[in-house]
Amino acid sequence: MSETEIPNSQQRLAESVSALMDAEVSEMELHQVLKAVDDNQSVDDSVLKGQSIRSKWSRYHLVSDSMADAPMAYRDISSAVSAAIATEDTYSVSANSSGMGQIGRFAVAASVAMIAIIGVQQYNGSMHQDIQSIQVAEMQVDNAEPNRGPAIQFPADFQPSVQARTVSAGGVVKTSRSPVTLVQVANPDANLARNQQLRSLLSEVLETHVTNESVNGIQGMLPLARHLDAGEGELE
Amino acid sequence: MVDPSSTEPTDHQLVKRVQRGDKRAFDLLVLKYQFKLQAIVGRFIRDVDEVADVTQEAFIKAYRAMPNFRGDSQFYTWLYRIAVNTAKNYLASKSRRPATADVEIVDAEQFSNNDRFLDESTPESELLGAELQLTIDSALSALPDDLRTALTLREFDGLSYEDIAVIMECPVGTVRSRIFRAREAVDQKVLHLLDKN
Repeated sequence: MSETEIPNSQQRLAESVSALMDAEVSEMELHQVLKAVDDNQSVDDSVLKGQSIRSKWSRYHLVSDSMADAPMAYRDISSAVSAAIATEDTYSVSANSSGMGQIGRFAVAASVAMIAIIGVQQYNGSMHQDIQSIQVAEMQVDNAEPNRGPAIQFPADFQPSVQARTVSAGGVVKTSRSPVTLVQVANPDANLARNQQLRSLLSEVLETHVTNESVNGIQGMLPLARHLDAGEGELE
Repeated sequence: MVDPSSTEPTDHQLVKRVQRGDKRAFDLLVLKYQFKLQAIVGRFIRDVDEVADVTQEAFIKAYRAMPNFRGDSQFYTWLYRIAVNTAKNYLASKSRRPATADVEIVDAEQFSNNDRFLDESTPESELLGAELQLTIDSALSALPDDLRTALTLREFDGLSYEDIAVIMECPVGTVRSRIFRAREAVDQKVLHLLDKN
């Protein structure tokens, strides 16, 4: 087979083999060569085998050795050795598995811990933003200190218990249960203005609804009744 | 000629792979060193078949001992030591004295292919060796100058691609390509020869 008949991919691999002889390849190229060697081992056709990466590696070395002025008897024992090695255990993986296993387990545990920490931080961050957006603050209030300022309070006997799990550096899991008083904090003036806006908007909507319903609906008077009811509520 | 130590980085890469459980990398090491190792074993044992068997056993021992190879010495030196010990043990088991004088481990550093493989090689193998040499010489002569220069600087002088690039005043990638094309041209002739035989 002439050089031009060899596919480009094979040419590139062969060039990598040549460079590997001279220790001028990257780890990636070495990986590709080894993969090609593995693929070529299943080739039965003698012509293809001759052009295989494995054969090239062998012949390149044969030529290299011969160029060093040493005609040598040629006895290829590589297939026999390869067959013998194939029955051997891949000892290195198992030999290192205990050490690597511990490292691996530590790495997994560290990753999980890191993800947990990041997750909690982000969750807390988003919670904080949510709470800020609705102008509600969750705070622990000293029962001995009287509340000052908040416009809206939950009933005095309303004490939701919050279960919090803390993680210490020593790995001891603690569970604390402490009473927390939820207090909605809002600006009284802003609240009043917002209530007024809401009420006026609601009235507009109801009036529009009543107008349309009294013309089109079969129970035209009921919306009006609701409107009046709402109006009375407003008066209260 | 390239000193075996100059190819150590390749060996180191392959050894690391083997130690991670990649048997294919060991296959490449076998392909690379099988003839040199047979030549070493051939200094102890005369019979060609026995040489092949002992060399095979040496490679298997090396594979099994690979986790213990720490890279303190060159891989080739380490492999050489295993081959020598295997050959000696083989002869001891057969109650035979080595065919030649003891080969010291330090010889591995100086060992080259100038030590002919098997002084008592067969006529067929001698003929093949001679034909191989002739084919390679002929193929090298037929190479364009730039390819022949690049390959010669690499094979005979053991220069790195970077050094060759400086000498030939071209990019490193060009050197790599030239050396490959030169090897490929020679390889096609050698493949033809081996197929014929």
